[in-house]
Amino acid sequence: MKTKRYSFILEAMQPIAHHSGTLGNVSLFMRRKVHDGKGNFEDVPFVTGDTMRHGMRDASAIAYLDAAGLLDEKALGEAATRLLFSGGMMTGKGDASKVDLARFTEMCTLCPPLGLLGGCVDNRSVPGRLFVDEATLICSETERFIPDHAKEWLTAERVTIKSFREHMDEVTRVRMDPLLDPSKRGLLLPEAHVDVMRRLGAGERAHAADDAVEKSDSKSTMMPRNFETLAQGSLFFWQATCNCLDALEEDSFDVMVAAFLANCVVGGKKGTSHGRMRSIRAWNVDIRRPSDTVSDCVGLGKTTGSLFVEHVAKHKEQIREWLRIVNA
Amino acid sequence: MTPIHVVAEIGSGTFTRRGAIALDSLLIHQTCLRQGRLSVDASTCSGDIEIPIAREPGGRFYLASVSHGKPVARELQYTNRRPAIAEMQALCDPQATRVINISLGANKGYRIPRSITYYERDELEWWAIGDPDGVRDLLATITHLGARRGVGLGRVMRWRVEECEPWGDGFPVVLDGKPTRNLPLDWPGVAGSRVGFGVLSPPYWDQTREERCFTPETQ
Repeated sequence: MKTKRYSFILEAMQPIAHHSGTLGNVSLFMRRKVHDGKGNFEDVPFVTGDTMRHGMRDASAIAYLDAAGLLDEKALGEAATRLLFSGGMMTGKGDASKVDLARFTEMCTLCPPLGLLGGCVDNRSVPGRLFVDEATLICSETERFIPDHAKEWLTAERVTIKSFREHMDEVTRVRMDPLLDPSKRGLLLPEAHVDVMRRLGAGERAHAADDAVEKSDSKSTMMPRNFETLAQGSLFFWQATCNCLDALEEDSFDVMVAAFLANCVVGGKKGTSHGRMRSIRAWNVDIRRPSDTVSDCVGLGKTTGSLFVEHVAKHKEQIREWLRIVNA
Repeated sequence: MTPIHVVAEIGSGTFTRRGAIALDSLLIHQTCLRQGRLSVDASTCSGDIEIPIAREPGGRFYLASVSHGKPVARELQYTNRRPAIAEMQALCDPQATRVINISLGANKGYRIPRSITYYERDELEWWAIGDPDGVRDLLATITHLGARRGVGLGRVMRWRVEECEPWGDGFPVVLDGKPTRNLPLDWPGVAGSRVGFGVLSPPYWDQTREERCFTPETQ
């Protein structure tokens, strides 16, 4: 067995909007407690390990299907999709009281990332061997948890470490009511147009009469809402550790990390320029810098992924059959 | 074999479903991993797996405590799962999969709470009688402790394994009359401790081997 650990400094290329919930119409950033070692706690924003791990699962599933030539076919069943992209589910089918090691080994052979990530297959839980840490915001509150090698780099690069409060931002976005725009009202059916004009008129009269009830009844669907973000350019420390049993698993781990970092987007608001991150410094990494060089996970060159791709391609027909019948 | 004190410096919150983490379990799991064994059951723990911890003279359990740490804060987090709708729309065979039910069954999303514990000085500690070098070697590849390790909980920043002075006759399993691990009811030196059902040797999840024993008061 070999334990491989890759650690990275990630930079937010866009503001990060990774929320835990809402308070009224304000989305709150995901936070967790950080202990200062003296009995005091701060709730510090972070990107969960769940998010980072799911990103790796997602990216590796795409890489796997690509290598097996199944990405452009609609060839998967519901269970196979659930297994690859969500880790599967206890379905109540199959016998959870028996662990068939031969079957387990076969599954790991056909889908190397499954052996590392774990999942629920044939109604039993397969433990993973991949430990993906949260992306820790580099700030004064978390500084003591940053390993020495990363601290040395931060010092050499003259990175100023400030409180997480400096990184936080609260922004407002508004979903407009299209019916307030005359040109869009022109697209309505005549009877719908009459209804809308009646509502707009009622709203104006309610405003003039200062009638709160009528104002509420006739208000537009415009929706302003606020959400917290972490500033563009914020730095994060992130590491992933894997217990690999053979060269194929090591290569699979490399592919998973590379595929994820090649297109690393976390949190919400992805559609509106939020969440993109890139690796700007890596340690213990014997793969090429993914963010610089990789456009897809199988384009890494000879040093990474070749074993994985060759293995998956070799078992293509078995994989197709397994994905057809798998219970997950 | 000498008295040893093991400390894990934790860099995040820790989630333990059973309250405490047994040192002998950690070492057996690592040994199994290094031997390429995929499954640990009662038969594999019965003696063919060597770990650098001494057993009690009767051989019923290892002379190692469970983890001890004083909780100073707790936090509620959630494990969320959303159904992979976009992926199913993109990749599923439309003839074979016509409808996906996301309100019940296997594709239903979930949000499961988990209670995270933070310990005083961010440390968990164990006591044992064992070979410090052997223990250090096995612990070196344990990077996370507890449940939900896969998503970074229980991250170990550093292991410290030191020889120590035993505190008295009960070392390392009885401290001030209290058990530091599950102990059989005939074990000497235990006074006024709670009695419950527990397993004396790994794997501790194997409830078929539960028996009445002294149980430690942890967290």
